[in-house]
Amino acid sequence: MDFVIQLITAFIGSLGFALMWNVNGKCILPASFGGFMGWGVYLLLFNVAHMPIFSASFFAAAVVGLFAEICARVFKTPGTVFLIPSLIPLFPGSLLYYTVSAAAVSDWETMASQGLATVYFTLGIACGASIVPALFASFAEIRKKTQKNS
Amino acid sequence: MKKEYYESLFETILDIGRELVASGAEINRTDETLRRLGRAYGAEDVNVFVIYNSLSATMKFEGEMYTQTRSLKIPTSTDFRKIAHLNALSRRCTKEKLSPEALKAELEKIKAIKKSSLRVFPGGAVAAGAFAMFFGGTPADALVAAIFGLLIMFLQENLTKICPNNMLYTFVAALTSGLGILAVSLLLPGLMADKIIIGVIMLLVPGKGITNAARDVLLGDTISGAMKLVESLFLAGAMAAGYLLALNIF
Repeated sequence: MDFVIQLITAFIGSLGFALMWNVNGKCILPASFGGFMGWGVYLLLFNVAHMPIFSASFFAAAVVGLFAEICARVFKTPGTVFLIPSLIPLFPGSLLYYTVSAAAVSDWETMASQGLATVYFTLGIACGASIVPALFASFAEIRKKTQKNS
Repeated sequence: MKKEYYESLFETILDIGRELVASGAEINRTDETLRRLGRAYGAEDVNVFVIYNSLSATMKFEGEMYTQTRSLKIPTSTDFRKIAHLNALSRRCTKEKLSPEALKAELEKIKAIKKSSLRVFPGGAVAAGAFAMFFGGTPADALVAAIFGLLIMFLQENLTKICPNNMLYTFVAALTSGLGILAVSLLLPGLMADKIIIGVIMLLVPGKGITNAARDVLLGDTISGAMKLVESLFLAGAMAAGYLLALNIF
């Protein structure tokens, strides 16, 4: 039940960000769906495949990155329009909060463990999400070069 | 005549670059867009140097070199609609050569796009509420988070215009929302203050900055990536300081 609520609210949360950031009408639903999908992939990898948080967030973000690149081609709109709102549910707001609340009561052990988890999680998202657009950019470059040569 | 033509064209091209960064586009996109525009208008040589706070370009049109710079120390406000329109405009130029005046008119049209309050405020409220529940809050928590989401949006719309940087805005937003939420949950004991704060935190998390920083680095713009990363870490620090202060006061 928790998972169902999380998936629904991930969709709504991304939708809220898409509105806040003025995403074009027809791109709002795909951008929101990306948030749902990213969290779905993360839940599968973390809870079913029992991956550590870094790999789970890395692959979840990479799937979102791929989704954004596909949407970019379908809707002829920059991929970033889909990528950024879709990634938001993955960002570890709760880890960040518990890092701060531990610091507030001088519980350094909890602060360190929560803080490190926040860093790993964020690193995973950032790497996963940027690797796919970078690969696409490289492929585009290769295609341009081969076209010039022929 | 020729010189005037290219000077006014070049001015508009750089203004497009400035508008892209001001709307929250990545450096790589801005760089590519300026190059694309330069080549579309027949530049024989295109040099673009852009980082998050400055833009300079030199292009050679019909044997003559043109150089201009722009300071990008300007308030940025993420607007994906603007980015999409600017991108479409630059692609259109590769197919049909708009005159400098027409290009400028198109840019002015895009610059006039405003983020409607009817989207920004409900968007922030819905996002904060949804994330309060996402992280385990009850519907009542979500409702309170949504109300404080409106407060954050109000501060964002008004403070970012007068604050010299986003740090101060982030700190004030974190402190006021933290104090408010803790006060409300003292009055209404059924609420989970931590879940409400987490919902609101999601509005302030520099997720976009960190993602863009990683992408800049991977695409070879190391300076820009480092700048953005440091900025995002400072913003996260300002937010943490705001909530820390609020938690310590209570």
